[in-house]
Amino acid sequence: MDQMDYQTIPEEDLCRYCGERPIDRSTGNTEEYLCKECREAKLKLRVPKWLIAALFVACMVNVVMICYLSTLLGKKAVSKENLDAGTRVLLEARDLIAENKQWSAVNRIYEYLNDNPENGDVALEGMRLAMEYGLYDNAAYLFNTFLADKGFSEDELNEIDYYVSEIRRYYDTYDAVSEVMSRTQEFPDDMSREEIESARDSMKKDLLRLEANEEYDKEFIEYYVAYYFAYDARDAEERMKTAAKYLPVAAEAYGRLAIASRNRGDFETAEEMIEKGAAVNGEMAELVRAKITLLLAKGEYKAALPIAESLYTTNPDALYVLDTYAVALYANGETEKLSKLLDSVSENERYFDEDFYKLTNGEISVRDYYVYAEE
Amino acid sequence: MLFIPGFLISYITFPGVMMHELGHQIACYLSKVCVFNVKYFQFDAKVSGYVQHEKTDNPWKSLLITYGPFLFNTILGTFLVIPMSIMWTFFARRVLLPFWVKAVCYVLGYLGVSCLANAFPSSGDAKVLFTSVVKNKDVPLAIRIIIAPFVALIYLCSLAKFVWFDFVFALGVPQVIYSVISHNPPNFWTMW
Repeated sequence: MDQMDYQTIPEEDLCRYCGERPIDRSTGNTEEYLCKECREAKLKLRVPKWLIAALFVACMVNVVMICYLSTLLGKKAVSKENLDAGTRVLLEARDLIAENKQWSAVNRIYEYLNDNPENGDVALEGMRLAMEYGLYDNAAYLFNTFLADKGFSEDELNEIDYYVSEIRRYYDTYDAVSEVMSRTQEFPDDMSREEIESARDSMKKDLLRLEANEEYDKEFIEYYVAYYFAYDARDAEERMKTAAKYLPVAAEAYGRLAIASRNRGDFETAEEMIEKGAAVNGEMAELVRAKITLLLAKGEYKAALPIAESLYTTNPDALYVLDTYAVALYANGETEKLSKLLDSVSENERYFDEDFYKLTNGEISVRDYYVYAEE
Repeated sequence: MLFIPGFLISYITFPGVMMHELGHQIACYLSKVCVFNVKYFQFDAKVSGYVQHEKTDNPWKSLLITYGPFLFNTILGTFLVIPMSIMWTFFARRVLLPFWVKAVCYVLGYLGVSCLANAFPSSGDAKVLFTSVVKNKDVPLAIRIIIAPFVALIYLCSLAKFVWFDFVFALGVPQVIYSVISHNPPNFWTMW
């Protein structure tokens, strides 16, 4: 049996970490304290597999989310350019309102939103603007078309809820009034005058009964009572003043009040009513017509003609517009245009009232045509 | 000033603590310094995690090992908060997101904010750098002078943690990213 020589490694030469192997002095480092195997092992980056897996999963999910959200941002959100464009549109809308062109302002907002439906800021501001000027139909359209699925704050949602409740009230009132008014369509052709008066009386009472219902707007109902069922001009005027407090019909109501004042020869009040109506909706046909007829009654024929032409361009079918335009043409001596207009009116089997023909025959003046009873 | 014990903050932001220690470990690996033991996280009021590594006389290696977590955590944390910043942009532009998207973004945001909040070296790290470099007479004076401000900066940041400086940084990074994406100024209080 061979004898084996045992070599004992001095303790000071043993690796300080494992205590088994000799310190690796081959590098020439006199302060080395580890063996070669331990140094190699301790230099490796040993990270637990579960930590690597967790990091990997977190990073992959992160990358997927960044890609997904970036794609969505490109599709859905409004770019900076569009945000700026939206701000510009709102400024343009406000400028139009300053010129009493409320409908044009809302239409400008529609134009923009049709191309940029994702811009919730402009849609909400458009709704606010429409509500501010009583353009409830426009507000309802904006709400239904452009406000859904937008991330509004709680305050903004509460604001929108309030607008929706006001619009609902407006439509509920309109439906209730329409139901009463639709009875006229059921009048048989052979009804006597007394029967008609009795039926109208009944309709008026039903409308006034609706006013007692808290769910309906009283001022809105008063507008219809004033327009269709007033006892006389004074009664109509008083009721219209009440109706003018309700924004959705305010411009029309002021237009009617302006005409009533004009009829009395009170041009100052008529002008005041027109100004008040213009502050709500300067483009309302009834109001514009009232303005034209006031100018004509005052003898300002040249000023009236361009406004009448513009009104005729936007409302070529309404008889009261045709009538007003015809008077403006007559007053300005535009006989050729007047003749053409009268031809087209009669071709469509429509006719103006008797007083118009007295005017064009020279039997009455333009002022007399518009002023019935001076105060 | 709201005072919450440091160990509680460490427990809440434990992913960041783990990444902090991993940052030290990676820095040791890059500097070819042996690592004997790593505790990524433990429930200890004084030391939430540690990396036991060999001493090095190389001042630059010491600097890299001390500041390693700052670089690693900042890069990783910034990367992880990007989805949350993009989500805020959606909120600002009034786009509704599905609930699961918001949940994932907030989870990633939590991980990112935890990393960012634990990015700064600790006073313990500063002590190691101070002892191995600034106080070490074997290191040339010029290098000690260069590295001394880095030690001072760590102590300053440690003090600033009393006024929540680490969280200002941690929440400020996603807000800056949000501002860059959305071209809006950051607004902490309406962001959520």
